[in-house]
Amino acid sequence: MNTSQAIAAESVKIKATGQRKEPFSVVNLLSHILFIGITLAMIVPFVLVISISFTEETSIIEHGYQFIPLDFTAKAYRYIFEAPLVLIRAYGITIITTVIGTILSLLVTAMLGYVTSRRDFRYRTPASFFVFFTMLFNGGLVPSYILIKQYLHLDNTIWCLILPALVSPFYIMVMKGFLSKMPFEIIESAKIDGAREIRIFFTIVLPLSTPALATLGLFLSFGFWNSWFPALLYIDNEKLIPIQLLLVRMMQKLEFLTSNSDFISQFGVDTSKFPTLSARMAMAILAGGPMVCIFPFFQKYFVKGLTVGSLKG
Amino acid sequence: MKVWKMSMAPLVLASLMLMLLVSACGSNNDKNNAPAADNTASNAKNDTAANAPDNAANDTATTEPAPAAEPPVELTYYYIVYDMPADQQEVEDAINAYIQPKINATIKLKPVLEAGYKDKINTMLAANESFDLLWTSNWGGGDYDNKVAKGALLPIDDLLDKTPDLKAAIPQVAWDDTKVDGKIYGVPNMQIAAKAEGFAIQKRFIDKYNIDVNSIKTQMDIEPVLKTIHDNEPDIIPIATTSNMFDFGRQYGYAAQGYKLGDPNFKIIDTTDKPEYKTFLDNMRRWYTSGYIYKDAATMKDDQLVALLNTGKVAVEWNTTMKPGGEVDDKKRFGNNDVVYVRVSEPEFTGVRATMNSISRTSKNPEKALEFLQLTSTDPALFNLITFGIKDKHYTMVGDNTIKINQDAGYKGDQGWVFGNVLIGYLKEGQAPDTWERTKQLNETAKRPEVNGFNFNTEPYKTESVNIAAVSEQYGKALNSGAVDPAKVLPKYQDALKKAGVGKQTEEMQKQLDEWLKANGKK
Repeated sequence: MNTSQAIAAESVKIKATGQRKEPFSVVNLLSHILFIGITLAMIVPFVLVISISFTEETSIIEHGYQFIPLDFTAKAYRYIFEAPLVLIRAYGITIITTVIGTILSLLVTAMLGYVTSRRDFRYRTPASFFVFFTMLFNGGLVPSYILIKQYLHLDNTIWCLILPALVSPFYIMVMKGFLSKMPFEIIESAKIDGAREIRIFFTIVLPLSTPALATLGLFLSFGFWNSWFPALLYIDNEKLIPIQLLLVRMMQKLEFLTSNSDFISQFGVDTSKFPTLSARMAMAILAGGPMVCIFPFFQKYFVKGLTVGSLKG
Repeated sequence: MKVWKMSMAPLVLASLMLMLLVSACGSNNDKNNAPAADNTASNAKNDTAANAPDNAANDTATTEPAPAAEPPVELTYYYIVYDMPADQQEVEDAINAYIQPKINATIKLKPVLEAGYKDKINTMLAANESFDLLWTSNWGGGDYDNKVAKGALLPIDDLLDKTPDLKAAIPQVAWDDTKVDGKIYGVPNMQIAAKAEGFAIQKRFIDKYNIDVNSIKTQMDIEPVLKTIHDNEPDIIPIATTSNMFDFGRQYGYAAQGYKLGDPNFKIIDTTDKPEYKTFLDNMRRWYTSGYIYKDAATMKDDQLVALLNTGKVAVEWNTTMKPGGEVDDKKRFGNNDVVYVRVSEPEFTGVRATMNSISRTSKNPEKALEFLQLTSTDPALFNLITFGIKDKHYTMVGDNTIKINQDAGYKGDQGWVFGNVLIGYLKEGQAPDTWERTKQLNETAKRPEVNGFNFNTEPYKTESVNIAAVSEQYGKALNSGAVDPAKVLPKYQDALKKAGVGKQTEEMQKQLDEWLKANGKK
């Protein structure tokens, strides 16, 4: 969705400027058609998901998926909101982890990126290598599990959803690349004016890197919003389940059904309570929807972050 | 000073890399050594525990409170659930109040939703985490063979001598079925362990059209019923199924392992090469073209079948379990329409590996863990508590041994098959009072396959079996539901199977079967 909107925004821009300046050209037309096609290919399935979530289950079975629900109903949403507390709590957890996680992660990323980008920092290369090295080699699942559960005892706390994802070497490299283009003279002049390192960082460097921060912040918040595997591994307490794990659970019930029908009948697992297709789609909308709404606010920075390559003053 | 500074960076780098290398190797070694080290550790624990006062066995026999000298141990029990019960803690407290006087132990229940069961348990085992009990099976997330192969489970043969009640409560044939290389790694949860094939038919159609169910003796005898329903009920789908109705060919005189029953050579034949399969496909094609089979059956997934059944528009379903009392569960699946079971094959013993509880290698108290399993298999009070929750809160008694689950309360999982012996538990409203007797009888009288206790080890032909599954998905489903013409597609299917390595798979299966037959003196 996100890239499609970005592309859509771009193509709108091209169109607007094209009308004024350029006469009709085949290349232009073809590229418009191409981008409209790509945009549609991304938007249409999403629209289908929305309309399935509003369709009566029996109608899906009889007529298949329809773009315009033959039998409109909000039953699927009622099914999900039957236990609103679970959902609200899950939203709460997801929002808290996303907000805290994104802010902390941006801070750490900016600080690490800034320090390793300063040419007058003596251990710049080893420090950068230390970050870079973890991109190539990392401990893997089991050692991280042992660390988090048996040494840090972070299981069943909200921190196990935030801390492991706090530092991403790739984003630090991106941040470093962005900051290394910042003229050193700015920092020097600040020093001459009597600012100390902390002040330089917070009042000069951070404000100047808003486009990079916004772009990374968007990626980071997507990462935190969509993460469910840490919760699956470390969380036993039902009160700390994020919304995406609820979605994964619902979706995997389908997989369970498709692979084990034999055992279902043997054990008498009550399948009539399993989520229906429209309920699963409604859940997908509820889990992904807020992020779709947030995206437009980031969009202007997003485009800027890609195009603003330097801060020549 | 300057020189020292210059040499600093490479030095730091070198030492960093060395450190990482060492730590990487170290953690690898740890992983490899873990099961072995663990093994000795738990053996040592076994010994010390065995030397400890023998009050364990005594306690279960008598209900006297345990001597206060020993502090109660806490057991951790991971198992699969399909819905997280809201009143988990309350039930756990009640269980602990009940079992602590009996076995001087408390239990920490750790239900894991089926969505992450396999990942979570495997990660815990790899991390060598300390816990006592876990649910295992040969399907879904249970992963029994794999866990045994990795050395994650504790063999319980010796421990079982200290829990004679448990040993006696489960038939020897069931213990034999759990054995891997001669050792028992799991306590089977007794339930239906026999399968028969047949049809589940909606009762309203039987009544309406005066269908004589006794005349249905084989799979093909259902055809006139389907015709009647098709001709008179335009809105109703006569038959829907996603599974291959030829199945393992039990209907057609083959064993589940693939050899023809009575064949002294036990020669395994692939499904598509069986002559009966061709006839079966022709019949299915006729059913399909006559409109008896749901038109989307070839592409239908199981969850869609469930949704379809829920609408109540399906008259007949092919059923491969036919368990006593299953009509009650199926009534819900058929959109609250009564169903009647019509069996068309002899019940056959299918083994007990479908649901078991095992003890982890990392358990600090394996005897206590086994004593807990002894209770869930022999003590109805505990079994009913862990399965159905607290009386008058989570369920109400509606008969001597029959209950009604309170659907508004917070413990309605009804997953007795995960915990223990369902045959000692309550019956649900609507199940016949003799359901458990019939189940027991069925388990005992069900025909033992000639190769009872034999299980294929799929590891040597894993690649082939994945390929074959993909090919079967492509051709098999369409053929089995009659959606395509067998005369044209069957040869293609056989061709594709050959390319996928069905020859190698059959060869390997035959090899394993022959070895087993020799070892057991049957060949």
